[in-house]
Amino acid sequence: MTLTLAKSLNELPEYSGVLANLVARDRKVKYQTKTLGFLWSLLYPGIMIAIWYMVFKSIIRIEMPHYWAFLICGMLPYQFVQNAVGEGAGAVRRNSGLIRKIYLPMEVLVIAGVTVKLIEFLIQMAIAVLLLMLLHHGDEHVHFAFWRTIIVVPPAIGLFYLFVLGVSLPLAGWSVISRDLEHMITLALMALFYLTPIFWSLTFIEGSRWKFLFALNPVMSFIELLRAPLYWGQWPTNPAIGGGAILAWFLACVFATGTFVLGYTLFDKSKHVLAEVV
Amino acid sequence: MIAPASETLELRPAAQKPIVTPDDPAIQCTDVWKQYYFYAHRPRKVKDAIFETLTRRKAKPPEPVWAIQKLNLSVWPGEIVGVIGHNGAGKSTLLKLLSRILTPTRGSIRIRGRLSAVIELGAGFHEDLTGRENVYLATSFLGISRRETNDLYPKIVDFAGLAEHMETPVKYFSSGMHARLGFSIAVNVNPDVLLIDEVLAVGDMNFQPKCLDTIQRFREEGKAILFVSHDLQAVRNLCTRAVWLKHGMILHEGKPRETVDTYLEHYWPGCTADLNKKWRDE
Repeated sequence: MTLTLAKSLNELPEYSGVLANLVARDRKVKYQTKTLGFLWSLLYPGIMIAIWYMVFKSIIRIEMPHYWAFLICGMLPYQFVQNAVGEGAGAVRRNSGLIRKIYLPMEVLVIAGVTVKLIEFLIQMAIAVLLLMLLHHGDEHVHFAFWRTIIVVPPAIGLFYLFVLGVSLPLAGWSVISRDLEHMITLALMALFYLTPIFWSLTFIEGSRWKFLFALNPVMSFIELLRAPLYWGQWPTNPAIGGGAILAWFLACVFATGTFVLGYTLFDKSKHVLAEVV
Repeated sequence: MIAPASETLELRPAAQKPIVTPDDPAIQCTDVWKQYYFYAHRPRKVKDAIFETLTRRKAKPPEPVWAIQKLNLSVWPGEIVGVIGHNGAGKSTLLKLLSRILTPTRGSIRIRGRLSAVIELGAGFHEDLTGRENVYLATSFLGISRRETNDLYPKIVDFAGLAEHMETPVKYFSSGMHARLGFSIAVNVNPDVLLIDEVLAVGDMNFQPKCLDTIQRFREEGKAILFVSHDLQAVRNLCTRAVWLKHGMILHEGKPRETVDTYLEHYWPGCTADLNKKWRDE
């Protein structure tokens, strides 16, 4: 099992050219038909965040200092998961014309799909960091921490990317075999949105004895890594079970590598039938 | 019409060429079997499952189909092996197995050197991208770097005869243009092994002879070619060996003329005499 995975991983560098081409192709095709072009990938999350902000600030009345900053730190990573899993899970099926005619390791298609979304996410994050740096000063409890951001955010996004790949890979294979999966993915992503502290904070359920269960949510651990320096101005901690930065990083690493290895292995098992079924 | 020797020589510098000794087959299939399940065509529905438990009647799972059976085939450098047979005989499956798109259920396949295939013409093109972009995309699938493609690009465009159309999205290409570009990419990437599926059906009168010339030239250069076609005359004239596939099995293997005659006699006894005369006259 581990051996075949190593073999598959070994084959990948050969296809880095394909990966670059596929990413460029996706980006080009996506934006060339639209007047606003690439701006859409900024406008869309921007408007979504504005809507959520109005709803939660004015109607539900969540009281948090600089709530907009809190929301940005949760929404952008969540939308990355949503878009990337959507894109990655459908990658093999969308490229059915290709894989019936040409040999290529099919994970390349999934990686390309996720990477396209990663690039969008990186640009969004760059703008978000700039906004937070300029506007999110707050007080000693809530502020933007420049050096912590520099140190924490890049590896956190790296782990996050690995995790999303690990989720997308098996889904990409299975969604070829069973078309029902598409609906399940949509539902699961919606559930994830409400079960992850994105628009709410774990500080809201401070007293609950079930709070520790949230530590099982991998997406939370990645969001909290990002949110710690960006919003709280702190080193990361795991708000569900406490503990210091080391525990927070450890959990994130376990989630990322565990999901990736498991996901890739599962995909590897299904991939030899995909060209016939798709 | 055959390209001058000097030009063919510079296609690939000697240093780059992997050494393929004539004794080693370029393509080697050892006891290859391929089974298809048609499982995805109709997924089992919950409705059916309930119905089956209530009526205690089990629906029959679809019969698996053997598309390739106990196939042993070797192709040596400098050979053009023709594959003939009816539709559904397993010809395309064989090509897909050789190009690794499909994995054999049993048996092993070995390929030496760079493999290039024209499985379905225009394979892997993205309709929204221009001809030029598609060339770079297609070569990257074969593991060819951008830099190497820069060198190959003029040859590919020139061979396809599409110089004015390379900045047009391929969705506006005619099917002949698609085919020409696809074939041109496949033969201009210096392959050691070339798989061809029905190329002659599409190209026009200018392009067809060019294809045939290239295939001949490849043979002289010591490349291994597998040639699937329904054009029996082309198989007879072009190939050095031919195999007849039926139900995924090799029914006959030998000189192209022999194989074609056996194939024809099997279905239309007595027809070969007339045909041979006709083809000789041409």
